[in-house]
Amino acid sequence: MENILQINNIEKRYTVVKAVDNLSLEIGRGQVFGILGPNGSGKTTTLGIVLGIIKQNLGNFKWFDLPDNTTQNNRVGALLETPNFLPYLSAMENLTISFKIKGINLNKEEEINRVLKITNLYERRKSPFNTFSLGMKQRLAIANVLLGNPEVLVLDEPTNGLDPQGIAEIREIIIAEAKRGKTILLASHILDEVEKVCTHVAILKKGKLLTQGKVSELTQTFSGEILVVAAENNQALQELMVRSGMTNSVEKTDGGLKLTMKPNYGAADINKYAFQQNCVLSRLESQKRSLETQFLEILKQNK
Amino acid sequence: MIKYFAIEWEKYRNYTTFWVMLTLFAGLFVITIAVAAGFQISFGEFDVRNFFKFPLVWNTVAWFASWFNLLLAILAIIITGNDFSWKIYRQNIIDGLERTHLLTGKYILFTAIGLGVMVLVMLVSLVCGFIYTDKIVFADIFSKSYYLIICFVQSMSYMSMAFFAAVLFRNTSMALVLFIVYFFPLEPILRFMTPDHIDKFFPLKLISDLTPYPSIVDATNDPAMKAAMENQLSQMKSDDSTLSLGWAVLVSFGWWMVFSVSSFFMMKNRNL
Repeated sequence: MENILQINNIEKRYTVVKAVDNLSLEIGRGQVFGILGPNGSGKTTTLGIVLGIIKQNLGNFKWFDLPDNTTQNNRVGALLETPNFLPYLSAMENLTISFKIKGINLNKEEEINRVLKITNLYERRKSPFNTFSLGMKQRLAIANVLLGNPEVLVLDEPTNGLDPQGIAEIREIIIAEAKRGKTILLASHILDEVEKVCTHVAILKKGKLLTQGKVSELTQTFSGEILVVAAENNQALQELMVRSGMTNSVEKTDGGLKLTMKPNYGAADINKYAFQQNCVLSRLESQKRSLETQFLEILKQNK
Repeated sequence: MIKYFAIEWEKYRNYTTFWVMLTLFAGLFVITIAVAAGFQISFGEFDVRNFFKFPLVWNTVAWFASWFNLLLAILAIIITGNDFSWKIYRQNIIDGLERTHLLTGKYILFTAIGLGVMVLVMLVSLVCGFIYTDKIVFADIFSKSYYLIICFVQSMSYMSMAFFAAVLFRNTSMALVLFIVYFFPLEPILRFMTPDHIDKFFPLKLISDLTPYPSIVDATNDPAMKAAMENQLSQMKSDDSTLSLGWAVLVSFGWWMVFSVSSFFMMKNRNL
């Protein structure tokens, strides 16, 4: 797969704090790549570096296999942290500036109206930016990202400040753009958002990459299956499960036990083991790991 | 180049503060000239209105214009500082401009303002000259019009110094306060503590000296009085206090370059 962005061993220090620590990532064409991490994990700094507004101390990045450290922002639509527009200008006037900077080869008015309609701002196109609500500002930033139909979208916390309806609308836009074959780089700490939208994910903590891979693989296989089991005597079942050597943890839940399995052990193994030990299970169900569960567990493991 | 100017124009054409500052500059300048030229003070062969006759009018009007250059410097700080405070530079980079383009755009805008000031000074000088010169000799009309170029260098120097302050502090209020502190008490105090042969190289002093106070000697009609005044002035004058006009223009240009190059490197190497 063609690489859209390659990040090699990037390091960014702010005095003694390492905001990004030896980070390497590869983002392929057509991927919706989520960068997950708690606040201060280096997500925005990483995006700032590849967009050319923050200078890294070490390492390099490469867009579209072009020479090292050259930004390609005219081929990328990006929203970084907060929407930044001139407060006294209208939505249209602010987008006109971006249109001119991007050197878009389309009819200006039509293109600006198109993105304003997508983001439901067309009716307010002549209102000054400083009269917009936080959600409208965020939607204008998304309109700016879509301006000129760029190959790659870089979105840093795109649903910040939006109400549930706004979040759903932005999510729809992202999914629609992904279906059109766009490569999307999405940084967020909202795990549900990443899980619903992204195909691939990287998890960062304190600037370090903890893990990366496909979302589907990460939620299913990374750290073993989760099973919920129950028997007539749950106390005896708990002792049995601990003794089995197949579980990482055994927790009591309402009317049963929650088992976090060791890799390579599953529901069939537990059922067979319980049967051999003369214990009949009245409940045995496999629970899909959410990205949130996985994320929290990975962070816990890397404390 | 046109693209960068178009972007800057798009940013400020609807910005009230931008037009208020420029109108304030033009208005105060024209009113001051009108008031000054309206005075009818004369003693003997000396008449205040002689300052507004060709060719001395070029020097006089340029000198009056220099009073208001601080307004242009404040404007330069406001628009540059705003681009930092509102993270517009950051957004412009994200949208596809190079860091050097940010500086180029502002300098093109400053050049346009500088040229506008030059045109205004030219128009006011010509109007005053034609109104107050009794007998117009064609050779006299443009003989001191080089003050127009000096006026341009002066306004550009002030604006590049202001731009440097805004890039250095990346905050409108702080840059404004520190620039004005440097403008009024700080540089004069530093100059007071420094020997004459060094203090004439301080940026504000040098830039200000580009448009000297118009010569009273030149405004006097009586040759005997003129000679007497010249004699007295030559005895009073300290050779160390100011540079000759040619040198002053050259060194001002040097300061202009120092501020521009320093701003360029700060823009290029710092996080936005």
